[in-house]
Amino acid sequence: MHRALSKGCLLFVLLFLTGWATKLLAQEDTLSLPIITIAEKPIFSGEQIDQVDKDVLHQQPATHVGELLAQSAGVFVKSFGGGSSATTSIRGGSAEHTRVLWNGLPLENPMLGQLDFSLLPAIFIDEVAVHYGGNTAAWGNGAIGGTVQLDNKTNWKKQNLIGQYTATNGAFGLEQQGLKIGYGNEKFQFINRVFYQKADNDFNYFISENLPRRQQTNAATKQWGSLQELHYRITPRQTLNAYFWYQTMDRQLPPHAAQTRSVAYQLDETKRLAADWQYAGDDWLVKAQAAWYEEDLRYVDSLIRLDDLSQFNTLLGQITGTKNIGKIHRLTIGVQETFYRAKTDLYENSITQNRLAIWSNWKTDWRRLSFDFSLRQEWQDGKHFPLVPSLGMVFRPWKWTTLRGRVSRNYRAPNLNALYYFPTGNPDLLPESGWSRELGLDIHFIKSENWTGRYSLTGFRRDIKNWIRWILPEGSFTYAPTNIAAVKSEGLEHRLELSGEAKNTIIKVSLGYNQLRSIHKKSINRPQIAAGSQLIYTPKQQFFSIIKINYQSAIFTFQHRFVGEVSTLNNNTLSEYHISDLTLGYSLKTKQWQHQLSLRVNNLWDKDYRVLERRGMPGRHLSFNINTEIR
Amino acid sequence: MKKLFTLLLLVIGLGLNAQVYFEDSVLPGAFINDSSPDTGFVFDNLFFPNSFTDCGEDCEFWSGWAISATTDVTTPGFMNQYSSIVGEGADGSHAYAVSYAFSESYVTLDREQTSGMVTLPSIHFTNSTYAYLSMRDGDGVAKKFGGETGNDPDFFLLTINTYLENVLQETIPFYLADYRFEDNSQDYILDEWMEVEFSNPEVDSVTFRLTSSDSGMFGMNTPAYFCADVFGNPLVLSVTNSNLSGLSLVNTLASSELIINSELDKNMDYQIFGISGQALQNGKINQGEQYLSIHNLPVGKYWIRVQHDGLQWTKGFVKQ
Repeated sequence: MHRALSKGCLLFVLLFLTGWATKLLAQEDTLSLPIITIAEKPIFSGEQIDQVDKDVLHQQPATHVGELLAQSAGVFVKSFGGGSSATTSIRGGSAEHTRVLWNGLPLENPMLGQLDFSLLPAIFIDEVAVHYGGNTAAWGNGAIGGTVQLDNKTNWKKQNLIGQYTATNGAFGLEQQGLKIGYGNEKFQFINRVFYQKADNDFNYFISENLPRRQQTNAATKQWGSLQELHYRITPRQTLNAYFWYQTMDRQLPPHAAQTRSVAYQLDETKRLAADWQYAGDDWLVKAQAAWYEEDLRYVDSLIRLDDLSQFNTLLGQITGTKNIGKIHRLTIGVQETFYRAKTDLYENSITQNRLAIWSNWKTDWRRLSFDFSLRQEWQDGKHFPLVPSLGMVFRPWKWTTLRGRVSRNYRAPNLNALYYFPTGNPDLLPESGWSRELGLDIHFIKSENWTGRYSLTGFRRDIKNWIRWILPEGSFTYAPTNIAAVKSEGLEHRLELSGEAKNTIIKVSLGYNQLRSIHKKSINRPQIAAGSQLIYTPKQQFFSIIKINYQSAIFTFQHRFVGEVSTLNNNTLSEYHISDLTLGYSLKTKQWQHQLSLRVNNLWDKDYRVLERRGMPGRHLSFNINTEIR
Repeated sequence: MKKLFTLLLLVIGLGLNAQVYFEDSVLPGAFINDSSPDTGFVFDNLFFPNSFTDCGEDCEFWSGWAISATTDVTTPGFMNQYSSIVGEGADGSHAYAVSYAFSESYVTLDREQTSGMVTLPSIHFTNSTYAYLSMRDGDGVAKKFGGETGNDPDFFLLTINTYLENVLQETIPFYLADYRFEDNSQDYILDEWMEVEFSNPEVDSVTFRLTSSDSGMFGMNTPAYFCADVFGNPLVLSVTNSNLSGLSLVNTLASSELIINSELDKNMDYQIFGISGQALQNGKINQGEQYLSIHNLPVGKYWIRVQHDGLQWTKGFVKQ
């Protein structure tokens, strides 16, 4: 059934595309300066989106995307600083409930079903956006808590040389250098980003009032990477983009605060090759993407004589076609085929997995009302996942008010470890699935020539059943994954944005406050989970803010975040904390160049806090950045 | 490992000794796990359950008991799960039993047998190297005892329950580590063999449950291992505590006569004990080489003890 269906889908897509291609050939000679009316990137109605501030991204080339999300979005990032791994929790979901798309392609590690955000250097990314809430039908497997979109942008207006050099030196042995160099014209853009970074991360942290601070040991990191981009505009309607991402990271793994020493280290090596071809008609667009990833993770702890290597490959092909129908409708159809191969000592054999997904989206913009409806069906090795719909609506009763809502069914497929970990992996695991609902209100309370102000409030609720947990079955002494848990998440998200421009001054203020209740609906014996208990490492409250003032050439950026109390794996609680960061900079522009110097004070108030149990965080520390680029 | 187990079966099968002791079953530096197709190991009338799954290189799942003679007291972690922190058995011998007791482990005593051990007066315990070093230094999962400040009132408790015909006889809490003292200098992690005596040796099963102050949602973080030795023979500890010099045992493997050499110009009493602690034979020892007839004893493991003026000398031997 799976084969027949997949062939049928492919045929449909081919016909769909071929029909357009014929039309295209007929049209091409007549189109001299086409007006492209279709957005490359799909926009779905009713989603709450946080965009990471571009200046913040620009000012911290030495950091990783996980850190940026923790600073400037309503995402809880589990990390203990330095080069430690960083995973996300959005709207009370697990790390596996965050879909991560790089230029539209999923990046997750299929063995873990999640992504380590510390392996995403900020210098490789031009835009970071968080789309909150479930929308599996549109974004794909695992988009339950939210979707993080990482994009590289092409500026076809940029002529000749593209150049940027950045260097950062900071506390705890941080040294980073990055170079973005390329050549571009209206037809062709070649960009190479390369970075090198090392840090000792030998900060000290608070233990207790009557004890000296403890210095972190065995925490050094060293990494370098390169992202090569080739963008070719074959015709004004047709573009070809290719990317090659290589990165290696060698990080020592420090002992936790209740551990005497550690000699462990982890080596990550990432190779990603991706290409896309895109053709835009007057009222339609087709995009074909292909990608190949190879990632190795080696964990070595000579103290306990452990040397473990896990490897995976991903081969992915995706075609999407979008067509405007009349003036108000738009139809998108997509098909994606993904092949995984994974190998580790934890599996009995090398594992392969095939996934085929087809989806469609209908969007209508009619006067003050927009709505979209998406539907996705996915098969994994012949087994079908739930058919997931998603319906979003936006209504603008007045110019200054927008009401939005979305209802969706979502799922997450079990990761390869849960399926094939030997001997307790369970190939019969079901995908986690459930419904999400959200309702939002946006009020543009200031909309003048120089000033804008927007407040938004979003309420959501999500129920997920068959949540996979590793449990100790009765009579067994080995943990095994099962579809045992059910989780209800509900909350409110407030956002306030003010931006304005006065004489020589640009001011932007962004505030966000999340209230979240994410609870287990039923009790589990082992792990000991009580019905009604909040998920671990899921704060009930989170606040973040950015105040940015550019006065003439001076730059002032103040960031503050608050994270509420969380419970931990060992039945302890970590106290809430407030953390502030301050960046002071000076920008110097010439006709050809733009230089920027900035000093960043992290943890401005020198607070002692912990994000993870038994893991201390650094106090106040500085970093200094120089950035030079061709204008 | 499987070869070693085959060797064990061969030893039993040859009938060299109906009462097989740990040290006779495993070579120094080795260990025995996986009792399949049997559900456990049998030593004398004691049954030690074992469940074992081999999942490839450096990968195994097991519970119950393994028999070990590994001696690594310095390597932390799972790969050194079979060593005792003492580096040897309780009687100074090379072998002992290791239990992985994530839920509970137990031994049973077949009292219906007409020979061999029918009572269980005591057992000796110590920590495994894995658990000891984890409690001392912490690891990727577990905390070092005392915690970040050294003041956490941590403990690693072995709760021993003895039963006779399913009726609970006794519950003994035995702390393998105890950091609950006000004075931190009294905190300890057991690093020697300690004997736990049962007030009533008439038991037919004993259960062992480990609990730790370092526990979370997934249960205990402290590695759930302990080591045990000298099931039922209170004399063995005294082997290492022998304080009467001038005596030596010439043949530790004997068929009909035991040869004792005494340099002491004294007339002393001796006793020969079986595994269950029963005195089976007694007599006198004089100066010079003595030939003690043991032809009435069945084949098996025995101890001879000589006492004089509050001092004692004890040695083990095997009747072939």
